[in-house]
Formats: sequence, structure tokens, C-alpha cells
Amino acid sequence: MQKLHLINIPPGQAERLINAQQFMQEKDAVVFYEDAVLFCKNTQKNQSFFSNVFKENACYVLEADLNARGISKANCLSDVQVIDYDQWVVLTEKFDGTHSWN
Amino acid sequence: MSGSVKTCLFVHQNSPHGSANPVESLDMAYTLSAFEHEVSFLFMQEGIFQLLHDQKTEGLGFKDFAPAFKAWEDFEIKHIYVDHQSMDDFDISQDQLLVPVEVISKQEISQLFSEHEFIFTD
Repeated sequence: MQKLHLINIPPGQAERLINAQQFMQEKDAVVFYEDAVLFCKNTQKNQSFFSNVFKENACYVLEADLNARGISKANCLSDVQVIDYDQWVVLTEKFDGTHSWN
Repeated sequence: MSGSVKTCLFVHQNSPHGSANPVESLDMAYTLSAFEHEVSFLFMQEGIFQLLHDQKTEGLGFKDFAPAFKAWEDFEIKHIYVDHQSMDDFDISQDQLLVPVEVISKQEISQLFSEHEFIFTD
């Protein structure tokens, strides 16, 4: 079963996200939304985190939550694709199920 | 929900009473079950305290939602799983819990995740 993982865990609780990733399969994808979008700002620390933890999984980030937190698309990690709500729906339909983490 | 039955797993990992999350998740779980979906619970980390007997909440002025867990049979909940490691970490035994549970390992948890189509964490 290919899953779409929904992450709203903030960087302050990175350990929870690392634990979550251990349960992910290679072809699963991840959507970062709400406070988790902070993981996607283009910083050295975030780049390092993604290359260690999410090298296998396709990652997406919700534009509305980025905007609300003053992070522009240009300031986002290049490996993470910025999506809107409609695109999130389309993405959900491509997977066999969803796993919401907290 | 377009008519097909979904296998749903509700993962409870938070301590009771510190947030509304456990109660809201429980409501969602029972609602989905009432709509004929197959619903199970997994309690892990601090979440196992939600199942601990003798929770006396009067001092906080909170309603005790422990009786709501006891209604699991009425709502046709399929399985109530508990993470073995979490039980050990918090030194809690099965006979201290409100309802009968199936104690499982991390490997079995991974298996559970791959078997359920909709997984929600509190």
C-alpha cells in the first residue's frame, strides 16, 4: 500500500518526525502543512535534515501555510514541491491511503 | 467517504487531559465506525495513560472520558492495540488498563500501518 503522509509536526519536535519516517516506505510521499512548513525553509540545517531523513520520499509543502508564515516559494528548499489545496486533493487520490502524524 | 469501507487506525500517543486531541480523536473514531468503517486503536507513548484505570479528574474540573473508552464494544471497534515498549517504559501492566488490549511490538506496529488505509494520530 502506497501512503501519503501528512505532517504538521514543527521543527521543535523533530524527533517525532524522525520516528515517523522510520515507518515510511520508499514510494510513500510526504506533505508538510501547518507548522511543519518551517522544515521547508531553505536553510543549511533544513537541507541537511532532508538529505539525511527524506532522501527517499517525494516531499510537498502547502503554499498557504508557507505564505502565512512569511516564507516565499523562492525561500523554500528546492527538493520540496510547493502545492496548493487543489493539488493536495489530486495527490491524495494517487495514493492507496493517508497517514496523518502529529 | 464515497461508500467503500475503509480500514482505519487511530493512533493515540498523547497524554490525556493536556489537550483536547484524545477526545476529539475518539469522537472521530466512533463516528467513522458508526458509518460502517473498520476502526481500530493503537495506544503508544504517553497515550497509554488514556487507558489507565483510576483517573480521578474532579480536581481539574474535567470530565473523565475513561467511560467513553469502555464503550468500544458498543461502537464495534475491531482491535485495541498497545505498544509493548511504551508499557515497559511507563511501568504499566495490562491489568491496570480500562479495557482488554492486544500488546504488540514495533514490528507489528509497522505491519498495522501497512494494513490500514486511513491512519490518524491524536
